[in-house]
Amino acid sequence: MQRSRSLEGGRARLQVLRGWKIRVACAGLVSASALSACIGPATTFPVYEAKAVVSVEEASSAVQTVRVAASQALADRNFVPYLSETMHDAEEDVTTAEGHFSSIQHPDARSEALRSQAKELLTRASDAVERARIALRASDAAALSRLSPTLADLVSALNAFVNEHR
Amino acid sequence: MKRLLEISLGVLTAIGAFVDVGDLVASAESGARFRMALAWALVLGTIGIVLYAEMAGRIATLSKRATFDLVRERMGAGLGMVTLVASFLVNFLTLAAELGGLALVLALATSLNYLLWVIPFAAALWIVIWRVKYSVMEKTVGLVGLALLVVIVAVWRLGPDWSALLHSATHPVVPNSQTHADYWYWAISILGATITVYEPFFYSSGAIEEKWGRNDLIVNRTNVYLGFPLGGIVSLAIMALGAIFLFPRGIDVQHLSQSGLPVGAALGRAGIAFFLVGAFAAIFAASLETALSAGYIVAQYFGWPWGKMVKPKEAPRFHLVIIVTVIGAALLVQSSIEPVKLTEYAIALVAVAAPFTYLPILLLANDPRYVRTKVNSFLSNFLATGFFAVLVVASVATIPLLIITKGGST
Repeated sequence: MQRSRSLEGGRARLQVLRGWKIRVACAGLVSASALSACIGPATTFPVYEAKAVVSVEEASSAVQTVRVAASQALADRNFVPYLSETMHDAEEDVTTAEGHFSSIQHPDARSEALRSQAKELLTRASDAVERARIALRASDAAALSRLSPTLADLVSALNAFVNEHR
Repeated sequence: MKRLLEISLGVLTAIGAFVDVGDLVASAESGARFRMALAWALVLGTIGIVLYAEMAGRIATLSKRATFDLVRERMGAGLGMVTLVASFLVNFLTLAAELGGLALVLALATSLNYLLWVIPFAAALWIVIWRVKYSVMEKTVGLVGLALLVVIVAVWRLGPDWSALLHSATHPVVPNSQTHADYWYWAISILGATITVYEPFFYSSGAIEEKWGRNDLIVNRTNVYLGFPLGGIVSLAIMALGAIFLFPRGIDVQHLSQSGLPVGAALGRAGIAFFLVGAFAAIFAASLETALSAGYIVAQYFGWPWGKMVKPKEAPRFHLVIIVTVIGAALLVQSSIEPVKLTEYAIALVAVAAPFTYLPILLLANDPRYVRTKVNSFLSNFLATGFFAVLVVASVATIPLLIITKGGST
């Protein structure tokens, strides 16, 4: 009887230990996921500059995606639903990049100019991508065609910013 | 002649079903970021899956028992449970990623929000598992998945500088725009996308379902030695498209839609149609494999009756596990978690769990009680042990790299 009680006690302790280990493992996994996704603060100019470069690079990738999608639409080399989704995704990427960058507090006065420059580029990118998506949805080939040089200039400006600040 | 046809069909099915959403995302993104500098990881992963799938198929064919059935017997209940939990969790995430991938492909074809497709696909998946014959199910999706060979044609049509492409693969260099931590994180992701945790378990369970005998060892070998490497070439072509078309334009693959843009540029609408059909079939095949694998591994560990060919009323717990897993995975995707991010995390976590699932296969393939005289050769053991060592290193490095690189997005 006593042995049975001691066995039960042992099992109970083992279960508590297992439960504890599972909780620690879960907490570890949640923390790892959270750490891998969060945006850290920018306490110095170089850190702020690096974050600006990442945001502008994301915008550049999205604008380039829209350029390719627009050229395929104009050349009739892809389906409208496919390209429409592609542009919608790209628009979300630019909006996210813009939102992330705006949420970072600039650390000093020197960062203020950089902030204005990056914000202006991100806003232009967001606007151009939105206009391209609307033109595609409206099957407005002329508007899409007119946007092509704007998108090309924008990519050059975004890449110039990245090269200057990397 | 009939035998030759059967073997050819098996090889074609293996090619068509090799690629899944993880390959479509990871190969395209790594090509877009690192050109062909991570081709070695894809080749290494393909060698690894060939070695271990062959072992799993051989063990099942000769012992007449599926791999997980033997894991508990050979490794003991405790270590068997660790293997079960690790495999099940990663398999669950992979299934969710595949369901998300299916929904994304349909969203690209229809422009309707992908979330509208998740529940219907989960239901369709269950109906196919419930009603369609195993051989019909496996061969149909595998053969339709061959439409993805269009990516190889697209690479050729884009007319790349072949020597530069080869040089990038044989002399890997991390581009200035990327960090070394990112490079290694993506190396692990490519490895995870190629090896998959579910494949050996699905493959060995399939051998039991199809009642393979000693004469089918040749089918086992040709499927994995021919079909898997040819499937690996499809993944390599997706990486090459990223390297040729996306890398020079600075396009970072964040969405499945971006993976197909080079195909549109090379082959137009016909190419995109093939790409969407092939991607859908390949991802559907992977969804079936992961959903069935969930039932296989749990039922085999606990010793419950199992099998797609067994009537549901004779294997109720096996079917219940599949239903619950499919519903859980659909709900996870429906929670609007980004499917591509989910895929990226799932393939990275494959590397964490892989040693737990691959070690028992290596041990069993060397145990004459299960494989009789057909134990691993010296060369097989040398290569498989070396690959296992790589997996252990990758497993230890994955979580730190995941944190340092913020999921490969630094």
